[in-house]
Amino acid sequence: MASDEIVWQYIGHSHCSFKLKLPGHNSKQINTFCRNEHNVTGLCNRQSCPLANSRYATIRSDPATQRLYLYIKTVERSHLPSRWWEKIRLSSNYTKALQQVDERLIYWPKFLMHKCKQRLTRLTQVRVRAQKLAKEEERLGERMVTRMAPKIRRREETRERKAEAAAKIERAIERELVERLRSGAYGDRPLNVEENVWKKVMRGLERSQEGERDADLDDGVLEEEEEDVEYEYERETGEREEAEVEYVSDMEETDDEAGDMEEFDDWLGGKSDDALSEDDGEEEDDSGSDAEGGTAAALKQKLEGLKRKRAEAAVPKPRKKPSKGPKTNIEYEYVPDPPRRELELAR
Amino acid sequence: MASHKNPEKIGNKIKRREVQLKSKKQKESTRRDDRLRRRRHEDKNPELRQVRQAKNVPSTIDSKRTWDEANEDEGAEARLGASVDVLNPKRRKVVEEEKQRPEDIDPEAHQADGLEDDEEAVPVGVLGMDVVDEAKDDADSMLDSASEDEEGANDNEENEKDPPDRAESEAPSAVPSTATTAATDLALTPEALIQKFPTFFANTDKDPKVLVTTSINSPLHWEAQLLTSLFPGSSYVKRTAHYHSYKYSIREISAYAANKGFTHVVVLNEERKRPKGLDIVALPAGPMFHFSISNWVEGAKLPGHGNPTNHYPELILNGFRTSLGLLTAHLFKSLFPPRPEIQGRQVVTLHNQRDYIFLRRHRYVFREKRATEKLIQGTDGKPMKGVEEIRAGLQELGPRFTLKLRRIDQGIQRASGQEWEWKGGDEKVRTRFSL
Repeated sequence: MASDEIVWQYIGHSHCSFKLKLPGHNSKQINTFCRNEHNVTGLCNRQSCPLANSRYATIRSDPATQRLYLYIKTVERSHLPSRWWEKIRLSSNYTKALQQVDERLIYWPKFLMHKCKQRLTRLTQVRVRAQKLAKEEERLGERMVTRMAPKIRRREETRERKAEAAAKIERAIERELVERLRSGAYGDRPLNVEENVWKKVMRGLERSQEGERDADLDDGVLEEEEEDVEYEYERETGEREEAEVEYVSDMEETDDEAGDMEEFDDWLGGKSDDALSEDDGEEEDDSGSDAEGGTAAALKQKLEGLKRKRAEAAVPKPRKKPSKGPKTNIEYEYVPDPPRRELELAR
Repeated sequence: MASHKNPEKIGNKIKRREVQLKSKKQKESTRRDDRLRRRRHEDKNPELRQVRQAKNVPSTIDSKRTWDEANEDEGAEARLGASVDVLNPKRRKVVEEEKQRPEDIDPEAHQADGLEDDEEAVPVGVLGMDVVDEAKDDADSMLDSASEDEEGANDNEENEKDPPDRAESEAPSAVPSTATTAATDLALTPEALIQKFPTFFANTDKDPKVLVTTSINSPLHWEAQLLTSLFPGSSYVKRTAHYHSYKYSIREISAYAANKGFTHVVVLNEERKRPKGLDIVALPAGPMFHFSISNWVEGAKLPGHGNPTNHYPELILNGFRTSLGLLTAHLFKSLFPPRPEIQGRQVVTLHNQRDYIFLRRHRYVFREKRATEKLIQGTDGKPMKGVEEIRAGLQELGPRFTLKLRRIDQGIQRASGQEWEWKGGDEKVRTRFSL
């Protein structure tokens, strides 16, 4: 007890490591605070200093459980520093806790009891508010999106720039749109194309089909199975090469052009759409291998002959009438147009 | 005056600079001459150019893309975050072989069944039949024109010697990937993935109804309005009425929206008065996707921009290859009405390149090619046939921004558990991408 005075004379007036001096709102004010965790008021006073008082009481909360404890320091234990503080758990009920403090600190100086009760009140209020906030946080879900570390942010910016350069987005868009147009996803008479442009597309397609036909015919029966089944979905470049190849006639490409149709109609002895469309239906369902096997050889011969004539016919304009081949029953596997890439129909 | 260490080095700075400049110009000049000479030479004989270009194909990160090891079990496709090329035609090849040896496969399939409890087991032995079904189905649910991968096709061709010219991502294949695919929107979506998110992939034909809102106390009202113009059938509702009002949580909002018949809730997050993130909730109680936004530019700031009309736009989805990518692509697809009005000539593009999803909005027109323009190139680098006289002109509309997928929650918000989360460690390998 006697040592309290001496302690205070030093730490109060000279140096205390817990002492904190901060300016107040007036320029003249300087407030001294105490950073000691057992201080009941938080200010640096003779009465509030836990180091300069052998008899002291304070309220502190357990950070884990948020329960409030009453800490009491008595003179009797002042020679046992490790056992200075007696820790008493208070009821979580505020009024009960107040009563507990009352009975524990009975006959103690009014200052300490009063300040303890004030601190108890404040800490309960803090606890209630913290719980409310936590609940609100939990209800709202996340509020804070953390900032990205600068290194990562910079890295991502750079990568995004490079990715954008590599992407060539507008080219890709153009390619895709034109592909849709070419494959007929927009229908027969699309609303988003002008007349002359659409005509150009059609013409371009015919030309490309004819060119390909010639090349393909030489290949004969290729990997029938796969290609056939897949070909519908190969929208790439309109080269429906392998599968449909054998029996392709020029005719189906020139369907749209009335002039060519007539020519070929005559040439083939009137066999045009009907036969073709029939075969079309068949082919779509199965791999068409059966049909092909039988007539492959015969057709190949025919088409070889046709090819040469067609090539001649195609090049000069106006066309020469192709010489009529022998009138035989040629069975054509009708190869439909490149698969319509239909617009999304959410099934 | 040169030091003995480096005899070339000139001590005088001015002189040194002159000499370096001179040598640089000299080098550049010789290279330029060579280049122009080569060009003149090749103009006469274009085949030389093609030969040379075929030989000197530049290697890009995209061509060097690395994939994680793919397990062949059925659940592999549903595992998000494994960078596995789900739409790889190579995997189709595997399926082809398997089809021919069903007896070998069956025990394995059953084993796989046993291992994966919740993951459905696709009876692999039934593949053959499924293929045929697939063909029939795909004839109906046709090509999803919404989802193409042009860029990827190129890579893929270089990778394998398969029948080339195969569009990679969404062109439905009669031969499915390892798992059989029921006919779906994104026709090549593996079955496993679909079954993992049944409500998400359950497609209806009705138009989506999108609720756009922002984060709490956010000032981005104008940007949110722009988003409503982007998504047809969407409406913007302010998140907070005023600063002291009750703050509704995303969960609550989703519940209300689901009751009112909305299909998606889109939340625009902000940082320092700029859009920073986009959270999309697939109702009801669907997976929640978190994206981060970078480079948000609104339409008015774009040079030569146009004003959007309210026609339903077409959709282009490029570059989504893994399961995660397919999931995201499906999300974007579901945000837009399934039947676009092509007379509006508007197209919204979501182009995924190296995990960055670039969203662009254009008005297009097909026009005749001018003499000075080049031909349209296909993914193989060669000009596309049949359309030699056409170009597509694009006018940019509306906002453009870049999205990056950061997280997918199973339910709504973090507490409901994450399907996938972005981690910086994933990006350590330069060539590995998750989408």
